[in-house]
Amino acid sequence: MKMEGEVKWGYPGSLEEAVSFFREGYIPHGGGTTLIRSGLGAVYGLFTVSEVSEMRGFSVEKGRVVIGAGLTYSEIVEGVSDCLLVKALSHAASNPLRNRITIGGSINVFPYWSDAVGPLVALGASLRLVDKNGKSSVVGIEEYIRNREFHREYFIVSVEFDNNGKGRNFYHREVRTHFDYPFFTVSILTYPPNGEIRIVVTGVKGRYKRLSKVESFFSGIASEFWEGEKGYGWLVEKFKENFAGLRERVENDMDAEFVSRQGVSKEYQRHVAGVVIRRGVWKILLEAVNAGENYGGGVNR
Amino acid sequence: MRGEFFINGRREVFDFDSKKTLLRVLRENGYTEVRNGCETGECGACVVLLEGIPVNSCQVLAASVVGKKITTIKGLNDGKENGELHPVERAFVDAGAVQCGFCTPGKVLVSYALLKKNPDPTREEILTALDGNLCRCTGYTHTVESVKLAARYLKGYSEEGRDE
Amino acid sequence: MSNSRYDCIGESVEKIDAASLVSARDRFTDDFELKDPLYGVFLYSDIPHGEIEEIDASEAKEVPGVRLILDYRNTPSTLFTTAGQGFPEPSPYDSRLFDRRVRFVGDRVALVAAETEDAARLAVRKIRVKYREFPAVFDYERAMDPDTPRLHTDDEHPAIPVAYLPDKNIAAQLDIGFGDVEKGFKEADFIVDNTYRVHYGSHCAMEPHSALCYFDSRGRFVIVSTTQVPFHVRRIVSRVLEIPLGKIRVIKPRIGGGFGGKQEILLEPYVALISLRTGRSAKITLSRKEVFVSGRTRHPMRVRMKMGVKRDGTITALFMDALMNNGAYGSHGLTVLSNTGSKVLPLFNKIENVRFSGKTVYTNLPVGGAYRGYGATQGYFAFNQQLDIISRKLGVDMPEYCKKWHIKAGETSGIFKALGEGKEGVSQIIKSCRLSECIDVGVEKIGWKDRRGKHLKTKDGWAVGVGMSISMQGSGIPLIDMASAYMKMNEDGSFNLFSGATEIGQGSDTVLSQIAAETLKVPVDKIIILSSDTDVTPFDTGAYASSTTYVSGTAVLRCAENMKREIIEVASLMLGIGKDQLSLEGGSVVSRDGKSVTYSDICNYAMYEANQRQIQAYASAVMPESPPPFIAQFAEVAVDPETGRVKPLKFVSVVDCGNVLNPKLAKGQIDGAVVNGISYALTEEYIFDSHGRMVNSSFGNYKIFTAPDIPEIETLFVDSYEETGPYGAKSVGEIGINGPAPAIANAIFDAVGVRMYETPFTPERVYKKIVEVGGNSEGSEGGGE
Repeated sequence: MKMEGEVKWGYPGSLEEAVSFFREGYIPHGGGTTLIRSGLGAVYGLFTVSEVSEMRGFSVEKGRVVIGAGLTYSEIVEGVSDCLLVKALSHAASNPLRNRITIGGSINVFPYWSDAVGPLVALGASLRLVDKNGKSSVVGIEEYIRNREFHREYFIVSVEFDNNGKGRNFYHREVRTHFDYPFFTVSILTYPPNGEIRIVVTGVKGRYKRLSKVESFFSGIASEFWEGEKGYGWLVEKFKENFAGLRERVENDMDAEFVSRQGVSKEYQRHVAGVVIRRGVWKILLEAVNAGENYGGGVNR
Repeated sequence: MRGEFFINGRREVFDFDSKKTLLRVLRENGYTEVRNGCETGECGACVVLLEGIPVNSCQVLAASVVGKKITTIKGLNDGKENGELHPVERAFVDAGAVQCGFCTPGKVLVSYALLKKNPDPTREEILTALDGNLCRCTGYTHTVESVKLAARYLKGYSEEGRDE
Repeated sequence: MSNSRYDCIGESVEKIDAASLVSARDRFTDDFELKDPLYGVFLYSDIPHGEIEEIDASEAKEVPGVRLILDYRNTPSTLFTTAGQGFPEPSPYDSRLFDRRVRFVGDRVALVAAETEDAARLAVRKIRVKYREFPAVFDYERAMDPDTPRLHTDDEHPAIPVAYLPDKNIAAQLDIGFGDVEKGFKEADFIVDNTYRVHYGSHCAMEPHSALCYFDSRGRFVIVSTTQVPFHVRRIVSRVLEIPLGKIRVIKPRIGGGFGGKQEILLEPYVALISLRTGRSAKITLSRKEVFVSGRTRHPMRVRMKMGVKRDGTITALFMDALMNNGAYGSHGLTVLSNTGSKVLPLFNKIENVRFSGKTVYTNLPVGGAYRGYGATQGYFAFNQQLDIISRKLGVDMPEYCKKWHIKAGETSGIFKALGEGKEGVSQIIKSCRLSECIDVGVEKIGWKDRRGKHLKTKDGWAVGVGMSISMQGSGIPLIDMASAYMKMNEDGSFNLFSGATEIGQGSDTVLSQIAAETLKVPVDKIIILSSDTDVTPFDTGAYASSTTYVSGTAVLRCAENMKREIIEVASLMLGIGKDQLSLEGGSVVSRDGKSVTYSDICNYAMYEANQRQIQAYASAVMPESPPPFIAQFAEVAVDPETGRVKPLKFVSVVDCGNVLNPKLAKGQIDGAVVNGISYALTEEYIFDSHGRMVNSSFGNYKIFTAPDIPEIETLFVDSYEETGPYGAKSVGEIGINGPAPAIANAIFDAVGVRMYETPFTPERVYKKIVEVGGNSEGSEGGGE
């Protein structure tokens, strides 16, 4: 950590005060783990967010979840009802780190190992931003990621997405041990009954990718499934008897480029992602069958 | 810069560099019970309770927690040096979970925080809570047992007056 | 498993420092407060091989607070070995404090001492070094090729007359055996000839290395350090810096784990040198990254084992050829290499034709050192897979095969004499061995019969398999490791026990106190132990070679027995009763006719009343043999055939370590070693870039297990009684780590028919093998996350 020069610190008690610090060149201190890693040399000032209520609360209204950007992973896991994001964050990093990493900081930095961004993209999340003049705007998360200007000129106040409780989800982080930086993550979200499926991978080139081709392929299967009366037998026919073939199909359709890192090749990662995606969709549909969701007759497994 | 902290119930005022981590500021001011095992947030030896919540002090900028309550392992014993143990500490000893002891204060603090929130945790909850505390001596075989024993020892133990 | 024959032997007496450690009332090296110390920070080489042409520290000197900058130009150029071994050390003298040559990325180039650590770190970044770069060698299997660069071309030399051929990049070599292996192979019905490879590992003790030096009031150097070998530290610092040994005191405080990584003189000469040059106290604490790169490691090794087997199971010949990667310096080279043979080959002692040839070579990579298992771990990876292959080929169950052929009590092996640690060994006859019972217990606990070869699947479709491994280790180095103890009595019937033995977290202070307490018939808390202070405690080689219980424990036992004699002598005077009528009982001396006198009375009498003396005793021990502990280990794994991921489900260890003196502590040793061994087999690895730089030098990317990763672990003991050991004990510190890699490899084969000849068994490597072998990758529902 470069030691020359001081960093200024601001402790705003309101969003207004926070904006005023931002205007002066301070940036929000979202937990700080990445900053400590990369060094504070280039930072002019930091402001804490623990007393900025708009960034520290969460609310759920008519299925619309709003999470303050200053909430930590642990706080989100405890406070928000079970959904894809909670699933992903509950085993991210480690307990003391989950108590410190904020969702806003995580989105802003978006390291390749992020457990937060994949699920948020799959959920179609939006970010409420505020600029140096206090003017707020809402932008989709994918747009935020693409546009560097947003990172400079705005800071994130809250994250929101719909969680209408009807979709089923699946999350996978490809790790070596429990406490690890994922090589890639897979988020799968379904929206019955129209068969829509969203499949997002992170850790690939470009940091994340929605696998639209794979989505269409499974979407076809999913809509057939949701049309009704497709039971366990149907699932087995579609999946179990052709696992390897399905896997190959997924691998071929995956339009994402993996990155060789830490001695693990991109080809292997691609292969595993294909396996994981196939298994994830199977798992979701099996859960639906067992929950009696499509009148097809579940089987107790 | 100068800032005040409430460490183990005591008000402290330190002069420190605006970029320093809490771990460094604590150790440099005599709180050597907070250990440095990696300084990258990856081993858990430096865990302290921040307003009762376990964090890696090497990943916390001291300036960001000015005015906050911090508990180190010595805070569990109210600073007594006479050998008395807090029930969670006693549980770890009795369960055979202490070998070299370097990682143990971190584990104890995490367990203490868990039990405060959840007096009867399941095996899964225990393992998840301690997923960031590395240990090379014990092989973690006593993890679940220590916390369950601590849960038993804590029943009926009063912590009135402790401020964290 | 409480033994009613004893008072505290066999009891899980609470580790005497457990309470002080859990509450952090004990201090580790970096916790000691010094008055105005100078902080030392190293500059390391960022090239793998070359010579320093120019060092420009002018800018660094200008950093406020910098007091001293050291490099090869202003430090002694004495050659020594950093290996913490007895004198004369079997490792070559090939290191200097600072060398003009750098030999790996992470080699030391300079040291800055400054008023604050920040100033020192800043100054280090301002030192400009110009190197003339040489070609480097990273592949240890090519290190001896005629065209690879040589690392040591100066006056490096061995301290004892052993083979040292640096002109071939050979740091040590040996070739021993008996019988005629070629003849043996001809007599065989089939040959099993395979080559295995094990990889780099880091000890990952939670406490990084640290050392400090200050002056006492008389100007003597006091060194406090994270060392497993305080007496070796004193000797080597004295020699390298030319400070009279008597002017140096080395104190070992609490240590946060060692596992061999702290059996090395890494920091102490440097803090002492800073103090010597500046007259100030000094401190160096390594960062985790520095420990990974510039500390010591497990020696990678290639082991070829060729065995000839008859259809009745007789092994007619065994040829083991080992090539070891020592890294840039020869630390522990000869001895780890020797151990690969001396701890493995005697286990199957009926083989009449044996040859072991080995070399350890220099490469421009991090340096190997002592690491729990010490060569046996590498050798057993090969040996136990050979046994798995052989028993399968014979159509015999591996547990039965092992039970039939392993060495038994009353037997010996030609290897004991042929191979010691670097020189000729010491012949011995096994006096205690219950390995067969260990195997039987383990077979049952792992559910061998229900799983082996049954091609079971988990509910997610993963393939389940079981595998086993057996091994032996040693208990100290016979006729070389020496320990001593001294005791004195206090007026309340308590005793001070001074032992050179090194408590590094394993519980030696506790076990030694138990031995003394048992002998003197007092509760353990009447023993006040102080260990590892070279001014106060008598000599001990240190915590390595699994020597502490057996050798240091024997010294304590003898010392306590001498103390017993002294007590009885005074009691005899007091009571006017002959010594042969007196015995110890419950903190008193009692006579046959019912008279008694308490220890307190005895001591008071001796201190104040008549024939005054301090009741005290001392003893040393060097053991003529090294009775091996034995272990049978079993792994159950699930393998995902579609991804190659290996999930350990259950791991069982059954141990014969003699009479177990403290079950909880003994179990702690095995459990820790097992989990270390499992992650070494599955997830740990050093990843180097093409320039020989380790790219994953942090816990974030060098993966060891945390609590949620461990399988179900069961550790049991089958007690034997080793008559040569203190209260029947042998040792238990290292042996646990030998089994996981081979047992898991054997289990993987059982599960998916794929043999892993190389560690680690990462998912990608296992998957590649599955595909190669054309194994089952049809697909499954998966899960098992």
